[in-house]
Amino acid sequence: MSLTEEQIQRYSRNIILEQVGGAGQEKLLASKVLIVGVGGLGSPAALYLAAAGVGTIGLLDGDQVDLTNLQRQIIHHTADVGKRKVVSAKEKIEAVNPDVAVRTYDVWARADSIRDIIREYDFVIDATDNFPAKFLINDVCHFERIPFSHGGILQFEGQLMTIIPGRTACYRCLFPGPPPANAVAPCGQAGVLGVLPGVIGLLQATEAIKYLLGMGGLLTDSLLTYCALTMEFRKVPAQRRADCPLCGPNATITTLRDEGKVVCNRKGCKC
Amino acid sequence: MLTTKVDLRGVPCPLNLVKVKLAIEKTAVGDILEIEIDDGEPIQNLPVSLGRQGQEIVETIKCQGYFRLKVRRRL
Repeated sequence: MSLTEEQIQRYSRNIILEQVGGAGQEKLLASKVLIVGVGGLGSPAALYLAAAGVGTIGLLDGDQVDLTNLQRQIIHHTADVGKRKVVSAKEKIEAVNPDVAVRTYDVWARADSIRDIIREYDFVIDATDNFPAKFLINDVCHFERIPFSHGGILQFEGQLMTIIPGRTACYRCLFPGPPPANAVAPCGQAGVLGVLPGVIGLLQATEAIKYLLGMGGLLTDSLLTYCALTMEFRKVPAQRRADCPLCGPNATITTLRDEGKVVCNRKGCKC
Repeated sequence: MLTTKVDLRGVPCPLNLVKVKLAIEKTAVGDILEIEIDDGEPIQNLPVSLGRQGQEIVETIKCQGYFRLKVRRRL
């Protein structure tokens, strides 16, 4: 593959970087990233990965655009209310960068459907808004050995961690299972500052690009937390646990399963 | 030792630097890349940028209205 004249100009600010260059840009164009959840976290991640020239972007979300999404889900515009989220996002990505091939999956993240999809990708961004989906992504990526970025937000705080399955601490090394039902209110009830998912989603996209290009150090074996109110970032060390139910030597989770029902209050939600 | 040539006359800054970088990537370490660039901004900027990248300017030849640079890829 060799870059076209238009691509040389479009990606010139990437190419000029010593750590990227033409070879790195070609690598990005040949890469496949799956974004699970095209909401607050997925919107900025999708737009920037598209702009950067990640050649194939998969979008998985079974929801439709709601007026209450627009305060933070910046890939969706006012005219998109009522539209399938994956369709709305695909249109924007293609408008940003026609080099990107967009694959859409208008489904919810479920144990019976997601494994065959995740297997097709080089890197996954967990941009979901519920615990069952987060554990499911962690488990599938573990079984398929696909690296991913976990991200989560609520109110004024967010967190993220990069997981290289089999090598670095997984989500279950930190949190063996979901919190009790109703222990954490969904963002529809608890609220979320609109800019917050922008910060976390972009850090996740940064990790994806670094992983794909093999540059820098990844946010593995540490959970980065961010508080918008205090403007504090904290890197909390983490490590693989011998008693991790998924990636430990005596793992009890050996097959995929859904971690209970999603509790949410989304209009028209089928979860 | 191979010498590759790239004509960047008429290509403005900073796009010429991007193209030089792409050409250097295709040049083996130790080989020479011969670049033709315009007078003015390009001849003021490019050699400095190449030097900063750690490449060696072996020769600068002034031609009519343009310059020919011989650059050895060092890294």
